[in-house]
This record gives sequence, structure tokens and C-alpha cells, in this order.
Amino acid sequence: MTRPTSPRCRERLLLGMLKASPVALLGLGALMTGTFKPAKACASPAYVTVVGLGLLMGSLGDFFLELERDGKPQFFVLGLASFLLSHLAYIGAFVADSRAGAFTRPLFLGATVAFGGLAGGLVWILLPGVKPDLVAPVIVYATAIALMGAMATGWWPKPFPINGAYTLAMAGAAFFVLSDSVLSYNKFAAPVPSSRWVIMTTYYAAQTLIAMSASRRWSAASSAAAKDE
Amino acid sequence: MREAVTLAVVVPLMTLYMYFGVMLPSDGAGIR
Repeated sequence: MTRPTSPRCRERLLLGMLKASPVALLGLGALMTGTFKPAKACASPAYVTVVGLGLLMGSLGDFFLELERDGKPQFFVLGLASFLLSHLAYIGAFVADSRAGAFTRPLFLGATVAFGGLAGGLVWILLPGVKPDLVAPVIVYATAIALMGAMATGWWPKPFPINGAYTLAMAGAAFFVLSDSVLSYNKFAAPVPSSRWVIMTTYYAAQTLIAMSASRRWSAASSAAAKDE
Repeated sequence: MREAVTLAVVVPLMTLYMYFGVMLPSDGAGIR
């Protein structure tokens, strides 16, 4: 058993912190952007702050999943829970920043069918390889990320367009779905060549794009506030 | 400008992890 102070354990903790630090910084940046308004009045949308919280939860998940690599399965569930909260935050951000009727449009309904079908198909493939105690968490997580992808597509803020924020969020959500699909297939179904590279590059791209989306959303709100003055 | 600064900070950190956490380890159990 690895003692908490062993060199290997310390190395893993350091790697976990290094892995989580970029997403944590993106989250702190979004939180600061959402909290500290410029001198001119600016209606800083809740989207920015809530995305910041989602990014911070994601960085916590990064840390836990790094610790899981030392053969500590309990950290997988903690990581999954952190990423679940992260997706719930993103869903909350899209809902809070959308005008009424955004999620009854054919665009959203179509995206729900597409992402739901993808998640359902993947879960169906994965379930034979999932331990019984992980079946429920995997299904709940797959539902949440599919909903997050659909919500990113259905997000319809006002004003619109919003300086590229929408496209960045959609691309970020798509990368997130891709990253988690490869991760889960590699973990529960069959080894994927260069899986670690694919998972991490698509994951970092996803979080960066979502963070950039928050930044653009803030700029759009700031510009709108300046015009109103 | 703000985005460029953000990227200038986070991309090197991501690259460092990709090197030390993805490329160097040989435990084969890599997961996000």
C-alpha cells in the first residue's frame, strides 16, 4: 500500500495539481470576470459566473481522476461526481442565460435526440463492462453530459449573436462529449490507441473553449451595456 | 487581449501536464 507521504504519492499529488491548474485558472478567471464589473455599468450575465463554478468543479474532477491512476477506484466516483456537478453548472448557465422558449425550439429538440441517442448507444455498448455499483453513476453521468451538449446547442441568450460565444460553447460541449466518449469506451469496453492523448487534448480544448465562451459572453454584455448608456 | 493573456498562461500548463502526466508515465492507466 502506498503511504500518503511516499515519493510516488507526492508525485501523483503534484501531477494532480498540475493537471487541474489550467482549468482551475480558467474557472477563477471566469469568476473574477463575472464578479468584478468594469467602471462602466455592465450587466454581467450569470452565465459567466456559473461557467466559472463549472470549470472549478471540473478542475476538482481532474485532481481526483489523477489520484485514481494509482489504483484507488474510490477517486473515480469522486471524479465522476465532480464532473457531474460541472455539467449541471453548465446546464444551469445555459438555462439561466436563455430567453423563454429557447428549449422548445426544433434546434434544441433535434440536439437532444442526437446527443441522447449518442449517449444511449454508448451506454448500451459499455454496460456489459461496467461493475454493478458503477452502473447507476455511469447512466446518470451520461444523461447529464448529453443534456449539457443539447443545452449548449439550444442556448439562446439575449442579445444574439454574442460575439462568437455561442459557437465556442457548442464546440466546447462537442469536444467534452468526444473526450468522455473515448474515456468511457477505453475504460469499460476496449483499449483505444493513444487514448490518453486523445482524452486530454480534447478535454483541455473543451474547457478552454467553454471558458472563452464565457469571456465572449461578458464582452457582449459589456458592449450592450455601453450602448445603453 | 484578455483571452490572449489567458491562453498564454494556461496553454503552457496544459503542455507541461501533457508531457509529465501523459507522455512520460508508462502505467498505461491514464485517464482524464
